[in-house]
Amino acid sequence: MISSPAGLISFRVKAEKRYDVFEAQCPETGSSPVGTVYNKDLLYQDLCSFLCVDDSSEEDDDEDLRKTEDRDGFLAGAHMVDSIHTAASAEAYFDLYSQTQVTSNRTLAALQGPRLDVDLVRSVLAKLIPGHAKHCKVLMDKHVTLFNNWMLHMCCGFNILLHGLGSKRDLLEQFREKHLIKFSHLVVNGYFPSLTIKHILNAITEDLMKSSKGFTNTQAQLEYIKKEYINRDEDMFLMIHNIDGILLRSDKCQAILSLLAEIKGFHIIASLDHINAGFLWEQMKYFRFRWLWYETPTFASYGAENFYENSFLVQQSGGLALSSLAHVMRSLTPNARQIFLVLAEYQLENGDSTSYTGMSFQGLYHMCREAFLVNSDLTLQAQLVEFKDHRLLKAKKNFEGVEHLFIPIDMATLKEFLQDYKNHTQSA
Amino acid sequence: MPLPCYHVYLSVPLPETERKTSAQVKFELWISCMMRMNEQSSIFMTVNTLGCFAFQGTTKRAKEKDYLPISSDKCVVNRLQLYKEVWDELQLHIDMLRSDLNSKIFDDLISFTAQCHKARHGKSRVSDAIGEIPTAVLITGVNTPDHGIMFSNLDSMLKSRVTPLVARILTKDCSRISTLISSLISQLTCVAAPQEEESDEASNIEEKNLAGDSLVQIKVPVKKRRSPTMSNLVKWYKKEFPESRQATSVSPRKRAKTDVLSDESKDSQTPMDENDVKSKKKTIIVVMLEDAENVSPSVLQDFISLCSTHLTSLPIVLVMGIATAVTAIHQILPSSVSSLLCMQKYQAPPASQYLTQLLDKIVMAPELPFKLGPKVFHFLLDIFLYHDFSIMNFIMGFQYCMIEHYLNNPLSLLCCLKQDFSSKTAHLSHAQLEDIRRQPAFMRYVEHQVVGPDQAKLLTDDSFTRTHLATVLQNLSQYHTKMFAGLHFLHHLGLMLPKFPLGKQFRELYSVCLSGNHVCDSEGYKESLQLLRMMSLDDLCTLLESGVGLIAEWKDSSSEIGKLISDVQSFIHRLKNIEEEPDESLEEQDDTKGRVLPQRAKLYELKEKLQSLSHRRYKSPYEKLRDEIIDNLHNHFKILLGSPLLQPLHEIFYFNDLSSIKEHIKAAPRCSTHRALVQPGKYLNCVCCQCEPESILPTMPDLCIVYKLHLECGTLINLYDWLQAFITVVTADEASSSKSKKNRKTSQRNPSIELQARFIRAVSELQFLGFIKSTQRKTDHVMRLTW
Repeated sequence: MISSPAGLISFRVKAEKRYDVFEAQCPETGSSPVGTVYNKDLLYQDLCSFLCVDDSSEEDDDEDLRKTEDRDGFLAGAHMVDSIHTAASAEAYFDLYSQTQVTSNRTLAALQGPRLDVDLVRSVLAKLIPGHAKHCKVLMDKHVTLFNNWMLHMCCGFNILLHGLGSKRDLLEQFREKHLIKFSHLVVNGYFPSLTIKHILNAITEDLMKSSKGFTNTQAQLEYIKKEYINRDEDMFLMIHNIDGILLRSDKCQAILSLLAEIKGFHIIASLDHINAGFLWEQMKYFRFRWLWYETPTFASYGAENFYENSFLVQQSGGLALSSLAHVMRSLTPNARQIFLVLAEYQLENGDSTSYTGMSFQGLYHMCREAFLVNSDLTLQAQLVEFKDHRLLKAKKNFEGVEHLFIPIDMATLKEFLQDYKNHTQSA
Repeated sequence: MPLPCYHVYLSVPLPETERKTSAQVKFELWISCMMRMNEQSSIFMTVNTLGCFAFQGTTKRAKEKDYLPISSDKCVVNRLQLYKEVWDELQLHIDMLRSDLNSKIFDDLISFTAQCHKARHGKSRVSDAIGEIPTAVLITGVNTPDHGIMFSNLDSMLKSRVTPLVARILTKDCSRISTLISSLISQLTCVAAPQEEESDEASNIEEKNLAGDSLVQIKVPVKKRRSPTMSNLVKWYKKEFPESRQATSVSPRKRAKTDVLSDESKDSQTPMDENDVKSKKKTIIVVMLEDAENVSPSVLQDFISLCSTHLTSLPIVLVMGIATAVTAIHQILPSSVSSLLCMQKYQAPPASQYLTQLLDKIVMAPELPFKLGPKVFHFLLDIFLYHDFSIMNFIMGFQYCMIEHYLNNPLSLLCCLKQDFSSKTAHLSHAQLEDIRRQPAFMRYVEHQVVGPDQAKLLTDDSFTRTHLATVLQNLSQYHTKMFAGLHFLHHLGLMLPKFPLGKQFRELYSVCLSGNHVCDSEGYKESLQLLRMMSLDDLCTLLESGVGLIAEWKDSSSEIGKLISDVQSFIHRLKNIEEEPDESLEEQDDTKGRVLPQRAKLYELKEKLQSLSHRRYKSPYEKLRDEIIDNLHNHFKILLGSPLLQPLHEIFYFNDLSSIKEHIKAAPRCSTHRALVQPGKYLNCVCCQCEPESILPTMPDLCIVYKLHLECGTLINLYDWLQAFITVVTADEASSSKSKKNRKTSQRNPSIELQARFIRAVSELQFLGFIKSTQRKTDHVMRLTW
């Protein structure tokens, strides 16, 4: 509990710091000044509840607690705000960051045997029998009883947001099969590393509305959907697994999703997992969504969601690299894109040999010059900086002192990226 | 057009596809891939190009009644119906309130926009040459979610009253000047589209044609598509509104004349364009920038300078929404640009005032049957005042409370509008009555508050119960009218007191009343009575008069209020004729003369005597009357202001189940994740994981163990050590049984692949949840993101 005003201030400072951390994780968030203020407010709110700085007196909570236990006797832990004394406080932050970090110097190299690769880890995990299966099942069954409630509330104009520990994919999938199957609906995998908002809108206009119109920008597309659905007497359900997924985190995506939520007949049921996901929305968006939160811990492992996440201990699979590659490419000038493509194609052709160290800078320069992409090696250097900053390009000097450039992504990913990119440019 | 996200590089033969859409097939494929992936991970690369899946449905609309909670409760359908009726009624009230609230400022603003260009042309040519754009700055206050509605109201009002040419520029259009202009032009030309004829030449500007079908069609851009520039807009404007050109082409002298004699000018112009009614005055273009602070300064600057240069041909009026203060404009714009604006400030009523109105008229009004109980009331109010300051959110919360009330409380079947009381109770079926009788609240009522033979009758006799319920409802409604009238009167008295012991806002007093204790027992009430006892004659008189005026509308609603009003009125009369009050001072003086202090007395006797004397100090007739008034009022308040929670069967109207709505409206996702990680046993309800929050058990899920271990670390975590700790915890049981130290050590050095894989999974899940992230600061370390 924070009592003194001074404590509150430092608490606030901490909250802002906290926000920066989240900000750093989603660099795309180009939030407006006003939006930022609200974001911080939301965050403050969540932290308040996290630290149990609660408005209602404890007596009230106790009473409520008893009531809830009476009502559905199972989630005894769901309302134990008081019983856990969370250690987090303003002082804890400064304690943690003031002391110098002393960790041992041991590395994973001390382990015997080679590092595991992704496939091996997956196959091992697949054979494991998850513990607490029976209890998880009970928990799941309890959530299933809420299905009717969710539908009812969606009919009444609210949208449903699920949170709580554990993968909620299966739960939502069950819900879909039971209730949504007869309505038009769209399943979005928010955790998917190359998902864009354009895909979602295209799926709505092309697959559901059967329109063959091409749209130049998302706003026009959104307007079109809105206009169409005012006249249509039809419900549309949008199921978003992980609305806090990496590529949906950007301000723009959430703005469009929130605008979709406003359309008459559109209903959203979504899940979120990231602990700071509450700060995705500033006031405006949050209101447009009209969320009703449901706590549905399942304790299931994040199989599908975590599929694309990089792990520290294993060799990289490249799923994320692909998404970041697509991202960076989108933000570049056509010339810079072409330069990267030249390099990527060269690497695909020659990368199979074990002695491949990369394309020499001069070689790249000549090829680019021939294609009228650059006019001096200085401009080429300038163009490459962007890729180096995003760790999509690495430079090494070989024994002769000649700089060699290579893309630190495995061949399969690179191949796929090129294919994707070509498809994209053709369709666009 | 093929979509990149639908490429499945699998040579699996497609199953029969007659009924399924292609996306469905792809989805099933993908699912099967996910399943197989566990066995054969090599397929992985082929499936990761799928992001979203669309399914065409067969049913169009989802109906609420299909999803009612499955239970024996049969009346829930009726209650849902009732909810809709009451909610519609409420929505009507809210809409009315909203339009009332802004009406004044909107009227001012609209007359400004209508007048500004007229006045402009009365001025000399010089000011035209400078090109000051008439600008209405609307200070909206920090309350963003509600602003959209406000501006759309303003939009429709402007369109109906001033000019059809109104453009709303949203922040999303303002990334570049070109998008801004094109949005402006498309909005303006779209408005004018129905007016022009099909064969009109202007149709080569891209437009949305509303003239044809009811369906909205967007015309395919014609080959000679004009680029969206201001000069094109000017051309279009001149073509569409030729009368404006006439207006501009008239000589300055004539222009001045037309303004001075506006009536005459109308007469003189009408013959020219008899067909067009709008030709009487120039058609103004209104451009609304909803959130001017959010527009990037350079775009705004460009836009303003553009507008000012074209001002002679385009009569533009800007309406800027500002969240903070007018100074913000000067901060955004350099003086060279801001000097182009001729600003007029309009202050929208702040959100808190809106809330007060809303609460007074809707939440705390006797008309609406549904009421919030103290806990829920405070909860929603706190969210508004301390978190979001948004009325829309408040209304949403209120709506959710209403749904919950009607769905979960069988007694709410009776929670209807006042005029329906008798019909509603008369039409109760036997089953519904039985349902009501089963309610604990009803049982309590019968047991404690009904005496004699009625008790049994209430439980058995249907028709008797119906009439009885009708009277109970009537009583409750009577009570509400009384209470609100009394509260308003008391609040009015409290407003005049120093330091406002009863609170400035009516809601504060109301919440005291809601909280369960009688208002007359509260500290604030006692204090305010004491302060009232010190009031001067003039103040008290005017206060009572205005107070009576306030509650006069409830005069006929109940006898108690009538009595209060008549009492107060007689008091006012007596106060005004204070000279006629009997003055007891003469007798008093006699009395005191007779009671001279005894010559010789014991000390305590003297003390008592003196005390009694001081008590009987002189009171003026006014002071006596004042005491009488206050005592009388106190008695009235005692009768009027009983807590609603003490009323019989108040459960019909009051929703007080905070726990059921709190977690849905104001959830703390991070908190719940933390709880689940720290005490998995509480959620899983298993015997093996029950422990204190601090301790770690090997039976817990891997993720919980890894999380708890990471809580012990600083900002950096060594992965190797973390892995070792994990293995130690997980293998604690085996280790204690085998007890061979050496064996354990080797297992530490060389953990099984299975353990490693479990650890890897747990760590990457923690990363996914946002607790840690990778770092380059030290090899094989991760950074902690929480503290």
